[in-house]
Amino acid sequence: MIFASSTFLVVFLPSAILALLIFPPRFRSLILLVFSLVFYAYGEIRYGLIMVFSIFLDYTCGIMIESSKSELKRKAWLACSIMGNLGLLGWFKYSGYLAGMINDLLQTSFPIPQIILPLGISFFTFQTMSYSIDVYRKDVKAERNLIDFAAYVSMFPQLIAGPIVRYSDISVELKNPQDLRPRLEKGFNIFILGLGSKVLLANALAAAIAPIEALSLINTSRILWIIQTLYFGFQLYFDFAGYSLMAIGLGYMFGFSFPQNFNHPYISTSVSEFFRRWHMTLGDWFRSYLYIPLGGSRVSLKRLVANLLVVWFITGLWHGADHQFVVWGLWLGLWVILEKLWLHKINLPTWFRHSFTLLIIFISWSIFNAPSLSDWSQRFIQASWLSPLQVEGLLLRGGLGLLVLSIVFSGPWISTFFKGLPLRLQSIVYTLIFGLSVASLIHGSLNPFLYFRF
Amino acid sequence: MSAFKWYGLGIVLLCIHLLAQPFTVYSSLERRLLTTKLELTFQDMLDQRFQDSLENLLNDQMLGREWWMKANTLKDTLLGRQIFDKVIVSEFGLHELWLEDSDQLIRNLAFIKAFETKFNGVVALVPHSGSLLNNSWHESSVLFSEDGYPALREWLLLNDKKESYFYQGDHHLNHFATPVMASYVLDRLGFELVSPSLKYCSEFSGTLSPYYLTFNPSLDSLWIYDSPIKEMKIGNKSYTGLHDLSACEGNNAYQGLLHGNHGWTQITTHNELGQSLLVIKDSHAHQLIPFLTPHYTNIDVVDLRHYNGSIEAIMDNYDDVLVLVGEGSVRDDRNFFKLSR
Repeated sequence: MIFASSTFLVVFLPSAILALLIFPPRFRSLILLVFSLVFYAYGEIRYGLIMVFSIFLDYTCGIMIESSKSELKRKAWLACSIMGNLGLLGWFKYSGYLAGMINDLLQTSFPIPQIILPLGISFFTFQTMSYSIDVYRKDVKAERNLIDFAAYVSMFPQLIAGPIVRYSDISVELKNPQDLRPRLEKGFNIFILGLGSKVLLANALAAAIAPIEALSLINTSRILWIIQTLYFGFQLYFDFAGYSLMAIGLGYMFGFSFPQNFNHPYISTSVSEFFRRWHMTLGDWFRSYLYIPLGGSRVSLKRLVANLLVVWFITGLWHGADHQFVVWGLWLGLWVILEKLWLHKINLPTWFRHSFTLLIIFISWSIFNAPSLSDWSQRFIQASWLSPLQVEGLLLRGGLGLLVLSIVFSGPWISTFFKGLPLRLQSIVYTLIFGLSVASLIHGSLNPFLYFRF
Repeated sequence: MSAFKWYGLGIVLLCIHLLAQPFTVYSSLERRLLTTKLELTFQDMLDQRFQDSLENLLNDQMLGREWWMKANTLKDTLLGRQIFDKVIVSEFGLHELWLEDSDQLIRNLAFIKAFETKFNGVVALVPHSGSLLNNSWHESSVLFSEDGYPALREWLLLNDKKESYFYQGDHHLNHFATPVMASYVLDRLGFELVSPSLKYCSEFSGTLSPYYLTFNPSLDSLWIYDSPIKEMKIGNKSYTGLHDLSACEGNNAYQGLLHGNHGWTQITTHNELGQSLLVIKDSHAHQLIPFLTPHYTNIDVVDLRHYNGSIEAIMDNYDDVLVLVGEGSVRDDRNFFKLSR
């Protein structure tokens, strides 16, 4: 189930709110767990057991890590958690990619497993791994209440597409459930902003991209490719940031303060800054559990470069099991390294740094969005500048208004202006956004979700 | 009142609406049947059919549904959107976008060309509104360059670009362009144009508007070419006229042309010369059939999308054969393989 659907808005969400309001706060974890499992099974009923397995694995490992006296045993239980989670991720997400790569390299013919990726597996495995590592580091206490722990792992607002919430972020709120009523309106308003971002902007951009994507190599052009990449960059942002905002809003309604996941990344003046503002919880995860354990930046130059390349290689791979995601990660990693070592020393005007950053980022989106690396290189090398169908003007005109709106809404200006409006006017705007979003959903317009399978 | 309170009120009203009102079966705005029941078995849940049917049911039975849809179109208009799936909003109205040149197109052209060669048939592709709109002609047209097809395109393009040759919300030729297309087809078959009578339906909003639900659709008049016949048989039903003109009263008058799309239609005309014609067609041919009836005694009309018999087996029954389909169908229809069986 996705948030931007009538089933969620009309059946699921009202039922969850009603249940949480009817029962006393002490039942909140249980209610959230039941609704979360239904939410997950509704999308992928066959994979509900994977979620249950993941819950039991990390619940057991957490307790065993904490209760084990010897360091060796603690390490063994930590390894069990990490191997279990990475094993799940590896099998479901990477086994096909790996088999294909081995076949290509060694000219073998291992069967390539055709596996459907369980919803949100990249998110909940990282979340549960962070819990086990934090328990091992003694940053948090192991959760002994299975219901509370299961509610944390499976919590539906952030289950499918983040933000990646660490146990330490919500452990206090999990143990001290409050009356939800004062939080409902504010949380719902945050949810509406996310819904509007997803349904009104991201979906409209997706519709503008669709006819360009339908063109074959022979009829496409570099200009069309540039237009497509521009639309896609903003679609991805509004899609993912919108979904994160919806999650944060729902979390707030149910008594949790989830971390911010996006902070206007397109105003960044460097690639490093961009990714401090884009999918912030994933960046934070890699910094805490990979980059710093590798030595971080307090190491030799050679080691620093190696650390950054490893982090960006894995960041790329996390986004998808294909060569182009690896290249995407390494391309960005390369610029982060250049910025860290040399570029930050050069004094350039802000407008130039901003433009240059956007150029690097949008080139990366062209790789990210390509059907494959070979398709990307073919378009780069073989495509002509103008399409034989002469549709560049038509397709640019079709999305120009949206593009301008996207640029305006991707910056902080609108939200700053909006916060200055009288509360009554804000309520009207929220209601209007919600109404228009519902209207779009009822119409059954194109409603893809880009991070759904990551 | 806050958005959350409106939301709560909306949910309560929706529950009352769903429980107290019978489900709406048909949407006259979109011209389609609405979802009124759930697929509800364990297997349906496993296969996501239940989930899909619940989503469709909620969308289709939403309180004030048509107002929501109009609001959505208004929003799209304000956002300046021009492209909706395969439909584009242009200065000429709504038209299908002409972009695709998939493998399907190449396969379809191969089937058509082989059929044309083997049976010495006449192939006439009805121009696609999207290609005229883009002012570009698809390279597939080269295949038909020797038979004057591009000349038709040039006639349409060069006469007056401001004049649309398509309905504002439709991808079919309108009554300006139909005689041009008909004279081209008749010339290929060796006949002179005899103009049929013309009938009239007002307030035609086109066949594409249900995809887009224009906020304030431009209404055309649908001028229907008609020609007297003895009998028209579709399955067990028999008609005395080519078209169902009562469809003028409904929202989609085009559905009345040739009584809609059917796999096999037999027409007996008043022509006594005994010539017979097989027309392999889609809806683009419906306006053109009245131009053919004065020249043949029997015309059988096959729509490959609904016909599952062998074409080759019946070919000997006809003096002439005509493939009369829309250029857009050649792009993506998956039924042209039936020409080879």
